[in-house]
Order: sequence, then C-alpha cells, then structure tokens
Amino acid sequence: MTISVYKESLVYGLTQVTNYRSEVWLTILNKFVYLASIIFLWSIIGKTVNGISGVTSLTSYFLIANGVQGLVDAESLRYSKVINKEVKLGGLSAHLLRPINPVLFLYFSFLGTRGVTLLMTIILMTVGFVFLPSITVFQIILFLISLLMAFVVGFVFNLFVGSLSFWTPEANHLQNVFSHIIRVFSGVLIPISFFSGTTKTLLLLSPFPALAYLPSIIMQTKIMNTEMWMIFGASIFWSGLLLPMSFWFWKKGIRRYEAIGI
Amino acid sequence: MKPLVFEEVKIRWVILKANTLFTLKESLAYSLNNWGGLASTITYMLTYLVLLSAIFGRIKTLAGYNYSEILMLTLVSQFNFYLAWVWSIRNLDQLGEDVKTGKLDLILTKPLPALWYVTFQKVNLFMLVFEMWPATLPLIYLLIKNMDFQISLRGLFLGLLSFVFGHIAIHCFQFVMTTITFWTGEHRGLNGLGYSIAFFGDSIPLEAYPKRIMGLGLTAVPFLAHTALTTSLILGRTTDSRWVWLSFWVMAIFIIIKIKAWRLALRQYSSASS
Repeated sequence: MTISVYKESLVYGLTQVTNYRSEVWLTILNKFVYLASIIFLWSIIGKTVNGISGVTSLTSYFLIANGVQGLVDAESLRYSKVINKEVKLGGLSAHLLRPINPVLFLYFSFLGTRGVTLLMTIILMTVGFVFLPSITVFQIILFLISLLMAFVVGFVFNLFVGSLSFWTPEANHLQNVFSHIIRVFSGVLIPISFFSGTTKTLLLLSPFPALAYLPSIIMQTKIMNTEMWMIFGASIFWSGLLLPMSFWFWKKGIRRYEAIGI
Repeated sequence: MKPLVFEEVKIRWVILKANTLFTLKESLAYSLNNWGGLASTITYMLTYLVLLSAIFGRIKTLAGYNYSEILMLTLVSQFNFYLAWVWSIRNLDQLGEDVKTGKLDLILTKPLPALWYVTFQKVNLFMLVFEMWPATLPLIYLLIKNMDFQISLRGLFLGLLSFVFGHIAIHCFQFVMTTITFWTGEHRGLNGLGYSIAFFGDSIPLEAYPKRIMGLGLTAVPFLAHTALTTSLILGRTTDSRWVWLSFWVMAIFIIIKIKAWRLALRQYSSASS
C-alpha cells in the first residue's frame, strides 16, 4: 500500500515532465553544449601538461563524472529546491498530514520529474565507458558501489540544504553556494589529482570526491592504489555519518515549521 | 500623425527610468535575497579562483595566455556575465513567462513601444553595486598582484567597443531564441540553451579556437566577441581593428534580426487571458 503511493508519485512526476518534449530535447542539447566546453578546455590543458592522458581519456573522465553527478542530483541540488518550495509555500503541510514519509514521497515525485534527465545521464556514462580501452568486472563492481555512495552523499547534501529552508526562506541561494563548491571540489570541472599537497589530501578525505571523482577514476584505473582506497574509506565514513545526521536535521527543522491553511 | 523622433526617445527614456526604479525598489524590498545572492556570487568567484590556481599550478600558459592574462579574461567574462544579468537574462525569462501565461497582453495593449518595454522590463542596477563589485574584488586584487602585461589606450578602446558590440549581439541572439517560445509555449529549455551558448568557453582564450569555430563565434553565433575577442584586443594580441568593425556589423545585423523575429512572433501570438 505505502510502496504503491511512492510508485504513483514517481509515475506522476514522469508524466508531468514528458508532456513537455521540446523541453527535454533542449535540456539534452544544453548539457551537450556545457560538456563540449569543459572537454574543449581540458583538451587545451592536456596539450601542455605531461601526465595527462589523451583527449579520449579526458572525454571519458568528464562524461562519466558529469553523468554520475547528474544521476545522483548533486549537480544543482534540485531536490533541495523542491523541499524549499514546499516549505516556503506551505505545501509541506499536506504531506505531513498524510500517513507517509514526506521526505521519501517528495523524493519519489521529484525522481519522476527527472526520469528523462536520468536516462540522459545514463547515456552520458555509457558513452564515457565506450571511450575506455577496456573494462574489468572488478571495475564495474567498484563503480556500482561508488555510485551507491555518490547517491547517498548527494541525497544528504540535498536534504541538508533543503532543510535549511526551515530556518531561512531564501535557502535557494544557499543551494547555489553549495552547488558552486560541489562543482569545483567534486571533480566535474577539474580532476582532483590536479590539486597538490595538503589541499589535495583534504579534498580526498572530504565527502566531495564521492560525488563524481571516485566513480569516474575507478573506471579509468585498473589497479586500486592507496589514494583510491582512501577516497573509498572516506566516502563510506561520510555516507554513514551524514545520512542519519541529515534526517536528524530535517526533524529539527520540522519542529520549527509553521503554515496556515490546508 | 507620427510622433517626432525626440518624443520616441523621450518615451523610451521614461520607460527605462521607471523600470529601473521599480526594479531597485523590488531589490530593496527583499533584502535577504540580496545577501543570499551575494553569498552565492562570492562563493562562485572564490571557487573559480581556486580552480584557476590549481590549473596554473600545473601549467605555465593556456593557449599562450599566462596566469595574469587569464585573470584578465576572467575579469572581462565577469563584467559580461553581471551586465547580462543586470538587464538581459532576467528580461528574457520574464518574456518567456509572459508569453506562456498570457501576461504579454497587458504590455501589448498599452500604448508603449512593446519591444523596448520587454527588453528593459527589469534593470537591476542594485546587482552591480551589491553583488558584482564585492564578488569581483578578490579577482581584481589577484590581477593587480600578478599583473605582468601592459595595456595600450588603443587596445583598451578597441576592447571596450568589441565588448559593447558583442554584448548587444549575444543579447539579440538570445532574444531571438526566446521568441521561439511564441510557437512552443515553453521557454526554460530555450533560455537555458541560449545561456549556455552565450557563455560557451568563457574561460578559453580566442587564440585557442580552431578557425572555423572562431568564424562562427564571431558571426552567426556571436559568443566570442564579448569576452574572448575583447580580452585579446585589450591585451594587444589582436591588433587589427577590422575585427571590431566585424563585431559592429554583426551587432547591427542581429538588432535587425531581433526586430524582425519580434514582429514575426507577435503574429503568432494568441492568448486567452486578461
């Protein structure tokens, strides 16, 4: 019974978005233009730096990294925007009165609206895989595990930023702040290996690489080195720590929620 | 009787002034919004500078541009970005929304130059003061600290012209894209694509582009004049003034295309509201 509610919410969201087909195609084209500019920039950088692989490898890296980040909604933290809207306009009241988990219900509804985008990110990743010379089963297993962790970390960031709406109605700007930070430090604009010294170590130990760098680099490297195990460990640590914390933060916010009307 | 030219200019000036004042009042009314916007733009700038320093920690030049020259390119790109947000992008979104909801009727039924009105419906000068300068200060500081190039008066003048021509041309290009909303009824995807094209490769120097893309970017899809060509002219890497003339003619042609597209779109417009 409860599961069917979430399923219907997902289907409803999907129906909503597929009504606007031209929008879907334009979004895909937009993503293509965005990725083309990043790959073009890095192909220029790649020509001047020793140790950077060729354009094919760079293309593969950025396609997978951007695909993963889009898939787990860490790109623009859109789910946090949904929460912000519900809190700001009072729509959350209707969900709180029903015998459902509002966080999950809203998430499934949101997931439906992203159905086509998700498909596009999967295609992006698949194209990224095609550019790789070879893939082992071990890499695929590790990639799937890292994808799961990316999903958890992405969800946590969304819930945290979304829950800030209980304290400030203008949390949308905070969502932009987090998006900028994630964009640079997760590896979608620049591989983390490009940073050096303490900055690099700190970044590798932060939750950001889990969102794009780790899944992408796993597919680029055949052998797991210390650095990759370190990111893996850090990602598991952050996922385990931040997931319960984000729900705690949401519950704390709910206590502050006030709305008039239905 | 046809109104005199100065009356036409006067009414446009009155519209511009009224819309600017209204936008200012609107900005001041939502002060928390301004702080949020400021936090967002400062974070963007700082993270971008971190990105640049990480890249230049590994390379000496990018397409022949050293660190300070790339900072100059970033500064021009930032000016273009903020200026676009001050008067262009918000109005394009507003136009798309007005077409979709039928609110455009309210503008079309008024005895006003409608195209002028929709172009300057919102002019957010407050953003220039409150968001642009604080966010750009760290960049200006780094630029002054690392500056190792000289700017000639001629280069600066040509760069300024190219900036203005390129900025107007890319606005017209984005406007033409938004007018497609009159046929499709949806504007978000179109405006998003227009935005991505307008700011395509804004961290890449002009000299890095292959000849064909350069040709396209300076004519049919004018995304290169406002930032890449401007920086190249300011830095004295491009000295031929014919590029500025080209930018001027491209801008003039795009203004004509904008007017034609607007007229064509209005013929398509139908609404059941108000």
